[in-house]
Amino acid sequence: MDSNKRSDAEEQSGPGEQRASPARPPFGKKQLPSIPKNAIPITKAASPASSTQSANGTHASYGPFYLEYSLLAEFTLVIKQKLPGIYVQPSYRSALMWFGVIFIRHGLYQDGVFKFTVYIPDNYPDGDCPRVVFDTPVFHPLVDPVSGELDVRRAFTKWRRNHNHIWQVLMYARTIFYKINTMDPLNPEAAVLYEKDIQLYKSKVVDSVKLCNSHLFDQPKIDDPYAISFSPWNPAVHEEAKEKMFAHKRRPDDYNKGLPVSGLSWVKPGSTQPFSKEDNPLQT
Amino acid sequence: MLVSSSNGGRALTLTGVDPETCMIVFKNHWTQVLRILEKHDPGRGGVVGLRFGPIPGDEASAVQNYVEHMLFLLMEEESGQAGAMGTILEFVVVENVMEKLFLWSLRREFTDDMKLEQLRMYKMLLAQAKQPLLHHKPILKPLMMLLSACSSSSTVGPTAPGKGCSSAAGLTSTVGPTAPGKGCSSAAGLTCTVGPTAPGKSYRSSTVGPTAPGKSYSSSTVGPTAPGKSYSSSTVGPTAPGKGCSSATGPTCTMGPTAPGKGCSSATGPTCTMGPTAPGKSGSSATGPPCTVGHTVPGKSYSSSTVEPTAPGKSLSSSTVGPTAPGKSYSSSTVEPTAPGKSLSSSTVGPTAPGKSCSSCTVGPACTVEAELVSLLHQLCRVLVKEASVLELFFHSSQDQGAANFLLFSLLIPFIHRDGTVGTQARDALTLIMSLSSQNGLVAKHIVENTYFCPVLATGLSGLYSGLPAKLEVYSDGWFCLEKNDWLQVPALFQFLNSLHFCCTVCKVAHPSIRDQLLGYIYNGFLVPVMAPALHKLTLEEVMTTTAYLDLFLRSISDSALLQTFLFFILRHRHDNVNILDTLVSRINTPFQLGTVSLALFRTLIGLYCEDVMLQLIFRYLIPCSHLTSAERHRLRERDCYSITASSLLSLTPSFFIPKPSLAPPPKPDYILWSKVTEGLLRGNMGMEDLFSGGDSVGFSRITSSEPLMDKNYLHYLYDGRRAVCVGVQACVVWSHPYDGLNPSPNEYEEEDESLPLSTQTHTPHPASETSERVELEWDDTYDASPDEEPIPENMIPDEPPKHIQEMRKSAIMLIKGSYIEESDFQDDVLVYNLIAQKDARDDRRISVKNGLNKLADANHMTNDTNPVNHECETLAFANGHAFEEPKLELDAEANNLEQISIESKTPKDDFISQCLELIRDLGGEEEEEDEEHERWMREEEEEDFSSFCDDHEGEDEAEEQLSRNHSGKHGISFTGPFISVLLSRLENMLENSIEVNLLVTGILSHLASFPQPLLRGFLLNTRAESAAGPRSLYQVLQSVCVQIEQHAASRPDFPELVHEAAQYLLLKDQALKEQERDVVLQDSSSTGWFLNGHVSGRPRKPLPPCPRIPAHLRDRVFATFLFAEFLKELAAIAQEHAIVPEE
Repeated sequence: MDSNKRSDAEEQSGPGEQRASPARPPFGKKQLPSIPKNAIPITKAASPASSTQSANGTHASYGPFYLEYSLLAEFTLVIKQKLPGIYVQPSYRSALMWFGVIFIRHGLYQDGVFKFTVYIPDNYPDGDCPRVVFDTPVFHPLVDPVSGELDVRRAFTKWRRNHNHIWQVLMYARTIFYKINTMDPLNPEAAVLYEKDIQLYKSKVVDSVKLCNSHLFDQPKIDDPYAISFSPWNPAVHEEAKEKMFAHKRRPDDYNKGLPVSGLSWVKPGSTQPFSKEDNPLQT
Repeated sequence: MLVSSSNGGRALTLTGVDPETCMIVFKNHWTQVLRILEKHDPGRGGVVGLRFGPIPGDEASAVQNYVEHMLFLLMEEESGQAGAMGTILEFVVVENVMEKLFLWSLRREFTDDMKLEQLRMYKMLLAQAKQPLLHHKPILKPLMMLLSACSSSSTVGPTAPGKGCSSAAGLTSTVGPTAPGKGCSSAAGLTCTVGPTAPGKSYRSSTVGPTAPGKSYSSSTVGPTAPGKSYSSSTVGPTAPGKGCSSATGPTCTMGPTAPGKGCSSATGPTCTMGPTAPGKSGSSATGPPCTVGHTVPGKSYSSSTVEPTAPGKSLSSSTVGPTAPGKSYSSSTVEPTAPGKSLSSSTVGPTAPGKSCSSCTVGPACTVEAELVSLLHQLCRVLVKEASVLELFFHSSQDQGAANFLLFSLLIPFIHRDGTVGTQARDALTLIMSLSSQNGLVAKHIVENTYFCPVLATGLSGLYSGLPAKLEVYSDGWFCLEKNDWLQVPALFQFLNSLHFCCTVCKVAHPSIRDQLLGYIYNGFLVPVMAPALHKLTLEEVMTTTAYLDLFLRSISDSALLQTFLFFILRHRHDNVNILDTLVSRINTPFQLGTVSLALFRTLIGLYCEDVMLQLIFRYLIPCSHLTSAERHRLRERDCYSITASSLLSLTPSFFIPKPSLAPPPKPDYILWSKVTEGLLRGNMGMEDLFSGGDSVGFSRITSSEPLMDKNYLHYLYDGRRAVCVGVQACVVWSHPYDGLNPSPNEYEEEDESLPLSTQTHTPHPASETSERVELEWDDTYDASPDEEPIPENMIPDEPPKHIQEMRKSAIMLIKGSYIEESDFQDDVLVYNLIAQKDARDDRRISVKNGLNKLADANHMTNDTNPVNHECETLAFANGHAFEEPKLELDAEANNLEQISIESKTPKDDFISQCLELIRDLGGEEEEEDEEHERWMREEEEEDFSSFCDDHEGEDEAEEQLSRNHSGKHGISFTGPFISVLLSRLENMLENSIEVNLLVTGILSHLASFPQPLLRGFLLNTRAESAAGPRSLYQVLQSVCVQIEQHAASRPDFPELVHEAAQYLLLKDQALKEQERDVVLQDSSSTGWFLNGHVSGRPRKPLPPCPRIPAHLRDRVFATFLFAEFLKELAAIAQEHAIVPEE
């Protein structure tokens, strides 16, 4: 796996760094485009995201903030989950669109590197479940051979706030490559082959993986500064980033450059008494 | 002759000149010089008269010329092979040239000019010599002698007779051996202060002294200054060899090193008479006793004064005041240079004399000598730091002199607290030595064991503190904290801060043993004996001033160990058996500026992100989780993914802030509005940038237009909220517990004091008394947590003390165990604060006013009832005596007043009521009230009150019960602590608060809300419906305020418009402050203490737009309404940011 992701397109890119990105205006919030470009417009009347707070009209003003923060919260949950082999990065232009890539490390789809895009409905979390579309349609019973869309809805028949989270969708997108399900396929050919002729299925998968990997260095399908793009290993560019990644763990300090803040504590761990630490109060 | 080095000839270089030639020249010069020297040598000539005989001017100048040439040659000489001495240097060393020259200068009139000349000579030598000189004893020794001689600049008067001198020399026997002349030895007298006795023990015994008197108020004002005094006397006393010294030691603690003995003892007189500068009013009373000290025989007078019970405190204080006293004695002493004693005292006093005296002192040449001396010392310190070998020499050279005596260091001590460049340079030099000590245990040991560095530094703080104004009257009504612009204008304060900064520096760079000793002295010599009484002074104004000082100090401290000492004092010290922290918390609820200043203090404390502070203030009440249901406990650590909290908070926005339905855009999909909002904000079309871009009428009109005011600046709040949350996360990384409902476990909370290893607190020696019995102080809590736990049955028996008064008494007795009941100075606080707490905690504003009045009236009843409990009467009498009048009374008058009243125990009822009315007016009650109205209200009150209890306060009755259970040590109560209670109580009063109070209260609350601990966050940002039994939550209080606002707006149709105008004004003001803050941050980003000022404060420098013409009686309410809406946004933004903080 010699490919390297752009350093700013890793999962490590927290929202804070995005905020600090020079490309943004100082108070930069992500703007949401009216509708994701290649998403199907949602035709049904937009329901107010929150049923609790439309009474006095504050929701009308603040709804967008709630939406954005819901998505950001989802994103932090994704990071917290540390899903193996999955990296996502919200789009620069819309918090409703996330770019992702899955690395498959064993099984039928071993060595597959599949780029995908997550589209989140704009009435999140009260709408449908997010959609996952692979950049290159992977040969898989649950992936539409034309659009590349993964059948997510079967796993999340009804999207329930507080119970369902986007990281679960991502997890699901990974699972399908390890545990093949042929029920109600979007790609009947793959389903049939998997059931009837596993060898042919395997070879088709190998072809599909090769195809996907051959397009790895292509320009991202969606033109967005935060789209995930791959480039061949170039020591001049990548070595330093790699060393940094291996050299030190991300600490909270990095999160907040320019804020040299340290609190104080003389409380002994396990004690609830002030000044219970016995050691000398050197600089904390 | 190659060299003709006049002063201007220094440009000459000797490069390429034969060293042999130089040597010959040097020797020739020396022969000439020596000839003159020997001619006047008393030992050689054997003629006594010569010593006093004048030295002909031509001979003196000849010597001077030769010496100049010689020095030049010496400086220019390169060192020899392999670092060996050059020949000239060798000659100098062998012939002991420098010492002979020094003795020569002594033999002549050792005037200031002479000293200057010598000092400059050495300075030049050190700075420019090309080979190391200080390694050589024949050079080092005379240098040390010179330093000793100069350090007490005017000690040896020109006409100082032999005898006086020799007697002084007796004291200075340590230096004696090397001191060749007697005049010199007298100058060296200062070294005797560096006696080997351990200061610690005697010090402690002396701390008993200052705390002893306490009875009268005047003594307590004196108190602050007393410790330093008594301290000095006891520590210095033992080491002072001479008799007279004991009396002289009084002042010498601050300037001990320079007190040379007998002459000095008589000198105490003058310093003592300088009492007039004693802080506040006590000064006048203090002047009496010290005068007696001055005139009577020293030593004796001191002991005799101890006979009188109150005398010691006073005389002591007066003598501490002495050092800080500017002027008189000093000038007089310069006038009479022949009086050695006096001039001595003046010069010693000088160092610590702030401002005035020093400016006068710059006139004299003595000051120049000091400046030059300190400059030379500084230079020497720099050399020391660079070359460890030189340090050794300095050390051993002193040891040779008979005492472990790091003279260089001791000489600097008197200048520690100086202002101006001399002080700065001295502190810099000392800093160098301090940093040296961190690597050199020997130096550290010496400083700790053999010098008075730490006590002088610490008690100097006390001395400087006593010079601070006891009242700050220059500031406006809205003033609540001392900012840079404020303290820059108070030289005494500036000087204090300088010394405090120096303490920080020492703590940072010095050896731990020095740091620990210093901290111990600061705790026991400044905080406990000075700050604690000062925080308990009698008038609100003085207490307020002290609080503001404390706040400033906390903000100024940049060293964590020193900060720990201060915090330990605040959190753990008990003054009159009441925890300082509890007292401070209780004051939040006072009206007047004291409440505001106290809020500012807590803003500072919270801004420290100190776990110990937060634990004591808040977390210890939250850890048991009794305020949470089990379901809530499980949800504590969850994220609020969908901004439920934010939307609940924002839904409390008063309706008139929200555009009318007709104006609102038709329902659209969110994203459309979203993009409009954000793009607009990003372009600056709707945000504050636009509003303030030109400050033009367009911007102004925009905000009053129909556009919703609400979402204008929400992005800014999000930005600030994110910053606050991230800072909190980062700052609390060092904390020991996450406070997430699991750790510490709810069952784990230890009662205070059992497990506290006070004895192990080695770094800060704490008096044993602190570990003594601890009583949970709850009197304030009861009134705050459940404002009116009992209906007042006032119609029943008017002659008996009303029930709530009885309650109050009961709880007061229970809580304070009677121990300080006799103490007068806290009682009134208790009463006043209680009454006010009760008043403030009312749900209904109007009722509260009535009740407050009523209770006062009740109290009055009781006073007249000759209540059997004496102290109760006294309490009320005190309260009546001064607390309710605006504290403008003169102190002594007040004291008299108090006594009188407490004896008579009776006050004219009318007066009392009128005072109450005045008080209530001051509290911001209805201004147009008439007396009859009051009476009517009082009549009505019972019904209203009762009904309100029935409706709203059942739950709190329960809480009260549970609370009382807590007294028996049980958990399971739902009580969130006095601090939260008092904050919420003030918040609920928002509409009546001044804008400063509201800014502080909301600022503190939002700061607290930004803390990452789930327990705190969960409590403050919980917007779920509360169970009836739980404590009041922030959300409930906000709901209550919202209702108040809606009601008010409904009753006044013009109210919304006024609020919009006020909004515009306040936003502009905020902007101006932000700019100012930015400037400040840019200017001195270096001086960042631990305190992180989360909120803008202070008065903007930029001119503001005129405040809209809001009727005065509505103004606070109008401002508060706008602030309320902004506060909701702020909290909502913080809640939203909490949801997206990355996991660690």
